[in-house]
Amino acid sequence: MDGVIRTRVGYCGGTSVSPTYRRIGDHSETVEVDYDPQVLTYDDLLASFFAGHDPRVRSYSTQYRSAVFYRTGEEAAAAGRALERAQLSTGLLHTSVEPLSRFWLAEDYHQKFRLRSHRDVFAQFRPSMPDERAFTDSTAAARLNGWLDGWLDGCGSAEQVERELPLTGLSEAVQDEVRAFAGRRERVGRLVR
Amino acid sequence: MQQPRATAFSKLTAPPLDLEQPESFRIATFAMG
Repeated sequence: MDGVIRTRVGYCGGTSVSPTYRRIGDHSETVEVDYDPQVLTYDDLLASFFAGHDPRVRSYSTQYRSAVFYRTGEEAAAAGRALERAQLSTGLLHTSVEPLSRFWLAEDYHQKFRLRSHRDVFAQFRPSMPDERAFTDSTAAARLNGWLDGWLDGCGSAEQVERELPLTGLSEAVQDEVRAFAGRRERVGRLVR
Repeated sequence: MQQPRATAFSKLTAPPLDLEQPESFRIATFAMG
């Protein structure tokens, strides 16, 4: 989405210290989105959050559940309103709205997981970043990861792909691979309400 | 294999975050399991 600056995955919501994927304790897998409030609103992100997953069935584990972790009273109120709106069209949703305690960054190999799984794209992109932290924090990596995961209209636009994909410096062939995946979710009608 | 152009990448490389001006960006956190 325009306005998203950085995405990182990690763990939060629990009480254990320094969780890892193998020792996640009572935490949940989460994504942290840094965004420019001049371009994107919290309500926009909440709309994408509810459009992007289906919490109609209660999660079987704490690790995988639906939750909004708010930082302010304004965010809590906005999340509550968004949950109410979503439930009007879908029925009861098992989404928790709770205060953020601390976000623990996940291991490097979890960051931009979809991008890493596309070996041709990853092999061209990764050398442009000086280290793993820069890769994790890269706006371009966030864009590529989302497009390769099949997002388009739900979290961006075809126009955004055409505007930004050439900026990545990837070869034409690899750009075409990205284009083939961007929007796949919408095309097959999954996860879109 | 064609090598990526570092100058082009820089246009989409974070951080535009200005940590001295925290009001310039916000953070949202979600679990979507």
